[in-house]
Amino acid sequence: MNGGGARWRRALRLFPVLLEDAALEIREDWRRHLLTFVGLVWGSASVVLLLALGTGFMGFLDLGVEKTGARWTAVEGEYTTAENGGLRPGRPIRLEREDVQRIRAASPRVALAAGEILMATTAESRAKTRATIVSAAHSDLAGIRNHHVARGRYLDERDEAEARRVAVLGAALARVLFPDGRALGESVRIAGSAFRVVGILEEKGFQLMTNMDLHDNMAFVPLSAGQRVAGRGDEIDRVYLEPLRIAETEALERDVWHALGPRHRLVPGDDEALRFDRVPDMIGGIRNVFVALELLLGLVGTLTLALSGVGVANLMVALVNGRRRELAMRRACGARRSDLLLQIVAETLAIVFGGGLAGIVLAVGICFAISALPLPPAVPDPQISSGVLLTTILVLSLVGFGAALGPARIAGRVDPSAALRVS
Amino acid sequence: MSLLALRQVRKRFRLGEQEVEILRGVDLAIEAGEFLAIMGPSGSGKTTCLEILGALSRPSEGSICFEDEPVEDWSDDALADLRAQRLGFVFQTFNLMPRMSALRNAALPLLYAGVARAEREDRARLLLERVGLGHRIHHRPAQLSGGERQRVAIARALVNEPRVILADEPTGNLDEATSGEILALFEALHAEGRTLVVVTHSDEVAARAGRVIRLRDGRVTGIAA
Repeated sequence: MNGGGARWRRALRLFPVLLEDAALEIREDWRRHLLTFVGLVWGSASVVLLLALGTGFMGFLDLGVEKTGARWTAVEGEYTTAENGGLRPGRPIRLEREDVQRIRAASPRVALAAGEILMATTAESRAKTRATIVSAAHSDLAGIRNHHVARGRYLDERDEAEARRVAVLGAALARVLFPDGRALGESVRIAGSAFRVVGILEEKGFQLMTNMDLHDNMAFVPLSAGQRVAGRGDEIDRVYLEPLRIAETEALERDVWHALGPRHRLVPGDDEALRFDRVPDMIGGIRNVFVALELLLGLVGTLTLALSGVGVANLMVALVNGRRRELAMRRACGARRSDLLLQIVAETLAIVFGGGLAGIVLAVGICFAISALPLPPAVPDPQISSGVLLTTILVLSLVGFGAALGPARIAGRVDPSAALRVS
Repeated sequence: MSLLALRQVRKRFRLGEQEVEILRGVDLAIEAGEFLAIMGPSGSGKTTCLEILGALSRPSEGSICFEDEPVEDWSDDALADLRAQRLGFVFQTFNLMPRMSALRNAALPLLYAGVARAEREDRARLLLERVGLGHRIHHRPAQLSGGERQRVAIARALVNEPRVILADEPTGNLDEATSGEILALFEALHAEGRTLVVVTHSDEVAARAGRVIRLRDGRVTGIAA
């Protein structure tokens, strides 16, 4: 233990001095180091940029999902595949408003529940008419799909109970229909019926997991009112459910089956009669693709840097071979083999980190430049996170130590008597 | 007690498929404070003898003792420490670090001996002043004359207060006048009681030594006081 400790203390004492020597060598012989340095700058910048691009995609996914809710499951009726008491397979399952109550009553795992119908129709103000997707839904939809009101209010239970003709507009739709910005309290005709605007949503911008259109372009009305103007009776397109705990999503689906099975005369095991779209699963699938993309990009960057590392190793082998006399002289002056190994490691790390850090600075500059460009909202900006920087520094360290390995071993084998032989 | 002693030292090298014996049973004892010259024709084994005396290589057979302690079986690190703390070297081609100043060159052995930076620089500066280079401590080897470079090398050899200084043809690359200055420096060191072992072809150098060992074909063929 003491021997090991003494060796470490010796290494820690020598390392700063050897780094100084390395800096001196690099400065004095900069022309020889230049090409290798440029390779390292580019390699390091590639790692940062490609990882930052991958992180940007990942952040893009999180951001897009955050705007429209990340915890919900949508239940839609499909077609039966099994016969049940004289009912033939292929029967369509039409969900209805009361199904939402049935699910709430049957499952203690429901945090939020909302029935919804979507209408492709027109929204008409005094100024403009616009083809619009209208979501008629229970008020819990705001919590499930992360609608935040910028002005006015969102729909509430009284709106639903009294089938009030009130509407909340997406930010972009409000701008189109009311260019003067005075939408609140104004009338808008939806599917030919007048609705009073009671709220405007915050602008969401880029979104993932939307139905038919971005929420910014849509209008939102009470389910009861929407069903009346659309002539849909009690029918709904889907039920959005948000579980109390995300881990209970599967149990919640079993609850839905228990709640809706008797009413819709579903045979246990007829899994295709109801369709469950789980956002966590969908996000997970997309996330896996993005993780694979990030890994691929990181790998490409790492290989680029590793190739620069080969250049460094070659340079160091040449330098070590050219400095055998100097290394032998150091041995004659009392340097141990491990001191020479450390010297070459210090010099290699100085080169790798010098070029690598310059590459990181270059990559940060490029990322700022990209962020300043007027790119479309669906193009993610590269994001230089602390994870990207740490990964790059880790890769640089691996490349540095890897590149030092061969030359350091050559240096460690230099015989001190060579100091005399060459003289 | 001898400061340094070789006992029946043999040294063999492999040259291709052939094994060549360079030293063939050398016995040698060097006393503290002695100025010893080792002479002999090229290929006689002078430099190999110096290598072994300086713990730069190990004998193939026989023993090397430093202050009566056999060191031929010491570990590589222990021999490095011996060189760092108790031996000083001067070479024909000076072997200075080209990128370093005279001061850092002279201080180099102290780095490996574990001496702190401030003390390293103080001791190196004092020695450079002593060899007449106080005004050139920040110059690099390329900015110094041959004689000045050899003085830096001597300062480096002295900086760790060695028990013995081993020199290989120290005037071999110098003109006559500069050689004289270096030899004067060696004589001054000897006068201070330092132990000097010098490998040389030069009769002038040998004339200043207290004892001359002659080698031929790896054997000691003569000792002259």
